[in-house]
Amino acid sequence: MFRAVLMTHWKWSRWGMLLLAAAALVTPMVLLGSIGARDLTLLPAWEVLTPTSLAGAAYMIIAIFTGLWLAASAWSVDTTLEAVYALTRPVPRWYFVLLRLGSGFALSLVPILGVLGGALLAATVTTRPAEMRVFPVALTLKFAVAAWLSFGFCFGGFTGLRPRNQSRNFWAIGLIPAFALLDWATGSHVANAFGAWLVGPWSPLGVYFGRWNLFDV
Amino acid sequence: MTDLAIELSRVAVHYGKSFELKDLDLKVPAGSVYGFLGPNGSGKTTTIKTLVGLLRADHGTVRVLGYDMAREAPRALLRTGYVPERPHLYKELTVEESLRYHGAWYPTWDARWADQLRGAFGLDLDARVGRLSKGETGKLMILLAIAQRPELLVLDEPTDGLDPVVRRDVLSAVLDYVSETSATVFISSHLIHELERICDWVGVLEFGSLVAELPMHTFKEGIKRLRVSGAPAQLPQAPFVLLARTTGLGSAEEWVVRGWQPPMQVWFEGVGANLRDVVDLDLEESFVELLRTARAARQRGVA
Repeated sequence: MFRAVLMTHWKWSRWGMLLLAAAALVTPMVLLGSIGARDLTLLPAWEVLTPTSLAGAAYMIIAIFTGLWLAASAWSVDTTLEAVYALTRPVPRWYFVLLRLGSGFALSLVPILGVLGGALLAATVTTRPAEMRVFPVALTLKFAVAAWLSFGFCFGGFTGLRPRNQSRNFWAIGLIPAFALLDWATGSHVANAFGAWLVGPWSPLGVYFGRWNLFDV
Repeated sequence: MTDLAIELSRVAVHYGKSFELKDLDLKVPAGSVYGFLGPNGSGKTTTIKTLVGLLRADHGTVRVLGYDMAREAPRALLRTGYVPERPHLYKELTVEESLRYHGAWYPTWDARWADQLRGAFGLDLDARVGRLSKGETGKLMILLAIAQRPELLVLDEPTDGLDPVVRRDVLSAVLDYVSETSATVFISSHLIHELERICDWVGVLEFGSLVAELPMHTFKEGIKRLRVSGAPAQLPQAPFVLLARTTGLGSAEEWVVRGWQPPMQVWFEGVGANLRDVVDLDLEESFVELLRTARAARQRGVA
């Protein structure tokens, strides 16, 4: 059953997944190309670390798109078909959702392996000064967590999303003016505190921020 | 297995702002081929969607193969083959992938038979579902429903829009399966003559309520058009159900009655009327008369 669900999910998402995997694979080599040298001992550390930080933003974007694309492709075809085929499968609905969730996590391995491959390749072809370390596994793990988090958020949002879910939409949209009103009443303290929490290490979104460096000292 | 493959009891389904089904009672005997008739908008598809768990009844109970659809839908669906009104298959998959995908959900899936049927239907394994013609898509949907070897087949206008050759292929496949397995078939169709040929039970739906549910032979033989003259305006209790009474040519009236038996002729002598003729109605005429009666009764109720 899982293999069948995985097969359909792969069919619907494969071009996007391959594109994202290719992007993840070439990002470190593009980074090295921008530095213009594979012997990093010839360069001052900042000349390596600055473009490395920029490449980190690319990883973050690829991770977000990986999750978004996998979640969208998990449900878009069923939504088009009014979910008749999906809802008449002889399994409990929660189990069907779980299968789709599992297939999304499994398929996220494609760009994750792309990141790992690209990072290992970059680590192999470069010569580094003794104080500069390379983090291919840590970078891949950070990418994986970011991609899974993005997938989890988007999957949760798309699951059961129907125009008729008016009460949920009303409360979701209603939160925005409520938040704005609260912020205005507290002199922007709420927004500032929320913003700091959002990018901080304790936020679920914290993984997207901070360091994404493949090379670091 | 219970004696009833499908049992709906006082089912109401609210869809949008109005009631699609209102206190619907439906009983489909196990092993029967049950034709579900009704004009457009009468609630046939809503009933079928409720049967397969796509819609939830607001009140009442829906039991399919003995399972309560509110609590045990997956168990019922495991033994039910469903062909919806509109194609529901994934268009990006090939025929081969569709077979594999569908088969993965059913432990009773018969891959060998599925392949035989595919060959008989002339479906190319490598063809994409989205590129199949309407007839080929119809065949594939029937194939998938049958090859899972269900105890119940729920078919929502499975031959609608198909050419006569494909229609015959599709219905033959269903009938072959039924004759081999004694499965129950619940089939809705606009093609009344098609149902007349294959069904042994018939249910007629109008305005979300069942106006008739009876064996096909009773339905076909019990509804007659009578030509009557000299009948009083107020009739005493009759041994048949008078569905319609209209003025015909000359002094004769035309009556449409249900439950007619030849010995009932003596009743006319008793009321001083003269029975001139008894005309058999075919299924389509019977269906039309039933609907006309139901609509007249509804209008009287509204007025």
